[in-house]
Amino acid sequence: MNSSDGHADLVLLRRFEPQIRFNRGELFYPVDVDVFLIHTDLLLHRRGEDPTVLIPRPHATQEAIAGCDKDIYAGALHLRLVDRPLNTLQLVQFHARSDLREFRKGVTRHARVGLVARLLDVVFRISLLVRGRVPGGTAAAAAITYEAMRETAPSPVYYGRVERTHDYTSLQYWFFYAYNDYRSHFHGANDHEGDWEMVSVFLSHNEGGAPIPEWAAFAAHDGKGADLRRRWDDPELRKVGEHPIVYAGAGSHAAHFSPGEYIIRARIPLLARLERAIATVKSVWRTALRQGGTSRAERDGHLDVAFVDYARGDGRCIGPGTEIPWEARLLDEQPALVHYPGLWGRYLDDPIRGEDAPAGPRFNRDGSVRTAWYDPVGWSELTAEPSTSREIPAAQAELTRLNEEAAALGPRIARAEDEATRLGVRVAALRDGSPSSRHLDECEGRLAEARETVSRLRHSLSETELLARSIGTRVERLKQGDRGDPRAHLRRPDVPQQPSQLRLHRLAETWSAISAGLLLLVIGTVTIVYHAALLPFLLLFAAFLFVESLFHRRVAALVHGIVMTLALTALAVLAYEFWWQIAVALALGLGAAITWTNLRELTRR
Amino acid sequence: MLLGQALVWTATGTLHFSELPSLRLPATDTSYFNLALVGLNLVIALGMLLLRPWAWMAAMTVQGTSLGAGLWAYYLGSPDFLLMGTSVLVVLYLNLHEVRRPFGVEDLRLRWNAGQEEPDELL
Repeated sequence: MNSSDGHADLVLLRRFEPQIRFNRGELFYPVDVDVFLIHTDLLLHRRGEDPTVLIPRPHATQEAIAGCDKDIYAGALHLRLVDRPLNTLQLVQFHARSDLREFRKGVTRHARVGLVARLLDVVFRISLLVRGRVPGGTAAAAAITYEAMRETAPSPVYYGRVERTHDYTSLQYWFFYAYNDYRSHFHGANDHEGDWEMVSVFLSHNEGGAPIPEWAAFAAHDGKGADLRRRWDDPELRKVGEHPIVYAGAGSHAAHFSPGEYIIRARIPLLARLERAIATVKSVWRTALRQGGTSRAERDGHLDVAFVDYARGDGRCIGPGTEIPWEARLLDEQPALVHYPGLWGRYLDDPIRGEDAPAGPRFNRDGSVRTAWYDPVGWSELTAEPSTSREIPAAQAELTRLNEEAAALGPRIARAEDEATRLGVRVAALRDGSPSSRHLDECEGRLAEARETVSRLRHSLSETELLARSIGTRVERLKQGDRGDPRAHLRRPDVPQQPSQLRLHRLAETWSAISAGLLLLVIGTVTIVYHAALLPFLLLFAAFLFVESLFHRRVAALVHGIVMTLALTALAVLAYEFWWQIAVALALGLGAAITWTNLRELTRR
Repeated sequence: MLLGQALVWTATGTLHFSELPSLRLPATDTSYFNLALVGLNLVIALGMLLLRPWAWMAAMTVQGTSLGAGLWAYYLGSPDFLLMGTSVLVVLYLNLHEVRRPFGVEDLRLRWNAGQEEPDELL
């Protein structure tokens, strides 16, 4: 890239750069990676060995770390921001004066989810003891170091990348945060040093070459796919002039389109098989047996842990229209961002990766190249969506192609029908008096094939005509300026919880906070006192569920659930007690059905 | 089905509430108790004919009570399989999509919470 290209790219990036609205209490904002690197060591972590410092602070620079080849070192290359976490006293002092005091969590996450999610949360917390975990006091130490970075370089920075494809120009804005303190400070899923987040704007160009913004896509929690993007005319995509507004999650820095509080679900890999089995049973229950209602809880139900991502946007704002402007850098001019394959913070060998730092904009943690890097358009499933300027020509071209296909099918159908007629004549003649049954069989076989060909071609013509008609209608709509529903591509977009969902009595919140632990404690006690008798367990569990349903105003759903459980238990008892009668009845029923069907067939003849 | 079940209960007197040792109702005459439950079933059946959501919920509750009693009796060694079998059939029938839809009870939470969105699933 020459300097004039770079300047043009920077101008383009500047024109559509986002405004980010943070939460009150946020401690980390996008930072200059050069300044960050000064405060880090570069380490090599080989399995079974203590980490080795390759480049001690303050000698880590972009050029230095970009030159480190992962293959040569055969281990995990990673930076380390905090080498000494704060002790308890320092932590107390930190909390007494930090911006965290401005954060209000609102309704606790336990009160927002069901009992199973809360029990799984206990398992998740325990797993942190055996998995790799960022030590306590690290987030606070990182916050103190980050303050020192801000004194050196106060302006927040983004790294912009411009990629041009056949249809779109993709503007990627990469933001680097010194630390993700989602777990430590915002009751979230994980903590890790270094945090990369990305926002994309997709442009097309009009006939004069002027850029037209078409879509914006925000990365959130390693997600990808169509749910991450919004069309430029979608009201959910808020803007200041031509600048999209991003609501960043507190601590997680995940980007959201709307302000609010989002429930984030973390899957537990060990339960994936069980979850699939439950989904299969539910599917049979609903489709084959036609049981159940339509509520989301009855349809879905996941075995996962829920966290709240606070993206209220009530804190500091950075970017156009605010008092804090961005400092824009071209990503391609940053050697470490393009070539450094290691992690941008502490590596703990966490089996589910949540507590390991991420790799840079180009790489995944395992060293493979990120989809967003090599396929910036396909990352958000935009490949098949033509831009405004190409939408009508693309639809018209497809319409022409379909019309040509339909036209070509006419003569083929005529030829196939001629062939079928010809074979029909032969078969009729052979049936009348051919000495060779082999010849008749062969002709009948060819006739069946010919009939099949005619049917297939006619079906194909019918489908082609229908499709052409639909595309024709779409072309007409597009010509009238109607681009259709801007949200038609969305499957399960993240939506913030509504205020009505967050109105819970203090007592309900307290119950939600203590119930999972209390249930485990009481079950333990009951086991000791009653020697694991069935009835006390059932009564205890029913009592817990009843209190739970009262607080969440779901007594009807609870009653229904209990009745269904009793019905299935009774069904199992009946199947156990009368299994041979049931087997005989099934055999008799099957026999009767087969006999009846065969007799009907016989009498029809 | 509910009417049929009510007739079966009346005819056979197989409601075991009063016969279960731990659920014994000393001051209640068994026949009156049974009669009251049969009456309740008839009221619910009438509500169901008029497609009332409360009737659907009440029918489910009665069947649940009946199933609970049946299972408890089975646990104590004096099972009533007819009671259990008919209740299972009624519950599975009431839970069919096609039956729930006309009663407007496809989503129980929305039906009884005046459209308020709720937190995630109970379980």
